[in-house]
Amino acid sequence: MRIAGHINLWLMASQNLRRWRGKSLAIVIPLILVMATASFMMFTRGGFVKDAEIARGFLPDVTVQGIEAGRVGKISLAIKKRIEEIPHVKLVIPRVWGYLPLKIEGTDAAYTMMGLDLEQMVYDEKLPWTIEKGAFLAPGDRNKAVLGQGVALSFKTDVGERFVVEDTVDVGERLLVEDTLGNRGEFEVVGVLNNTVQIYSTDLIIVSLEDARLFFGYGENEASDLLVYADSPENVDRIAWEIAGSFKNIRVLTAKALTDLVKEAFGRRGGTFQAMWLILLTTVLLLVWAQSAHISVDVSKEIGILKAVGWQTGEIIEMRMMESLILGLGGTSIGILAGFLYALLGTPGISGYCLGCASVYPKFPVPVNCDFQSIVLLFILGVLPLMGVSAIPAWLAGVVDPDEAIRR
Amino acid sequence: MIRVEKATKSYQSGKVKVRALNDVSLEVKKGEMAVLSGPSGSGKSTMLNVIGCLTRITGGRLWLADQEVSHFPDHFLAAIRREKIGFIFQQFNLLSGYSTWENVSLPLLPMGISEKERRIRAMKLLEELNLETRADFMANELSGGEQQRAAIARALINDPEIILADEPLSNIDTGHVRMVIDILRELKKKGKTIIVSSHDTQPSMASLVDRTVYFASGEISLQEELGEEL
Repeated sequence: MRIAGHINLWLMASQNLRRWRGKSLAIVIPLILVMATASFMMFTRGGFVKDAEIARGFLPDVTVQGIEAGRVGKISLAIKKRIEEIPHVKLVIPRVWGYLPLKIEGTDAAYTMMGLDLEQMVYDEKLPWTIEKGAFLAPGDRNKAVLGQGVALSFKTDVGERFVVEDTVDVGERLLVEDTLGNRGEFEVVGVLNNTVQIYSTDLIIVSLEDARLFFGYGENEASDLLVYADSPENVDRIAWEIAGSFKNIRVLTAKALTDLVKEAFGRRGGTFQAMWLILLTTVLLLVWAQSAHISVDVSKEIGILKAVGWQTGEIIEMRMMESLILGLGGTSIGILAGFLYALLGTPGISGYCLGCASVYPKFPVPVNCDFQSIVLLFILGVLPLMGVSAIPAWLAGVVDPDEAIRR
Repeated sequence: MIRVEKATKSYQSGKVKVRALNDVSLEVKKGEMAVLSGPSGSGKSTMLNVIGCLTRITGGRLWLADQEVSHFPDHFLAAIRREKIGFIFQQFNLLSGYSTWENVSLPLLPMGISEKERRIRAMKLLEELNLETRADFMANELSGGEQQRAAIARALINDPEIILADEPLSNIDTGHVRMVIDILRELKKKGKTIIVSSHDTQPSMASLVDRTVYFASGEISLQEELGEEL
């Protein structure tokens, strides 16, 4: 068939969709809903995974935590020197961190305070964060803090004041924090992190190692964990095994294990959504199938007539598939756009489920990642099944003699 | 020339195998008009469908224009239907969601003919059939006679060599019978080969008929060759 013939079929397909608006809308509206759901799930899950992958580039090769009574606790710096002696270990940096409850009525949110060895944890080199406002902590800084955006948005920093949700804290203001034991600390905010890696940064209060030790009551020879850097990536596992085998009451985590943990957690949540999405997609396919079956007598007769006046079966199927393609592309495009906007708006209504730990994180915007691969996948999933389901009845009616198709 | 040789056509109706045509042989020369006559269920419509390549024979052979087409694959048969045959259905079989002119021009669509050209060709035929004022009406808005003429126009849009009409006079009022017969007369004048199925031959049509084939129980009971009186 000539190109002009195909164009005629495509034009007729688009006219047919207008002719039978009710039927078209009955297919396209559920498709939009399904694709919007699938899109925001895919984009938000992609956001979490991307966050985890970006952060992995900055994670220490191995993190060594102390275990007390089976739980994560303090680790003695006595083992720092011994770890440094393990072959291929380049650097061992202690870190102190802990959680701060937020005593605000109606919320259980908590923050993470992290004390870093500012001499060794060089900004832009070993840290996954970038500064949105102000500056990062400099070596020797005391009683100063850099905040994640979630913290910055939630706290009021004037000394002696209570924390108030929705208040903002800005560079140059004061931040008052209190730990679970009632210890108080006062810090000057020198910088606010941006949201490049939200799941690692939004709830953070970064201070010097010394301030964190003082605040959490750590001794000079104690830390929460040790960050171990290898001289090359291929030695990481060997170092991790050696540390694990050499010391008692410690937990050894490689960067890969930590990243996989995050990806798995959100992957599983993504999986739940994907299961929901599959159910929705199945519903649409059943709807389309039911529509096809419902009108099968009319469709069969129409196909018989078209064949009788000289149409090839392939031309009829092409027209039907073109109708489905137009519906599928239209419905999927609108659905993807709606899903993207919903994700950008922070998945209102279900963000708690998306985040999982939203009760811990303050003002955690759901990360969104809309990449080309996801969009192509969504179009494949939205368009191809629809085309297949529509083509089958046309094919079934098309392969019989015109006389039989008309008389069905 | 159309030649059917020892054609049989069987189909399954539930658990019963029905033989609609039984060893039927028939020949219609180019430019002739033949009437297939007989009571309902005698096999005349099946014969017409076989000649029109709308259904395949289960036994025997079929020639159209000196080409044996019995075993042609589907796409060849579709091409034959498109290029050589114009079929007028008893129930008209217009597509209800389409306008009159769109129905008439349906066979041209996959051929890549532009909408403008299709409309011109359809309008020319509709004018010849006094239906031009109904060109933009939906098919289901037409009267029985108008639907019949639209179906005739659709059958003629590709200027086919063979015109097949299944009971063309049975679903229209007497006022339109004359018009349809006149159309058939004009087509015969143009040298078209015409085969009409009819349970009773109209006297006014008898003058056009070269051959009458009587069917009974899927078999030809009688064939008459008549003189041409135009």
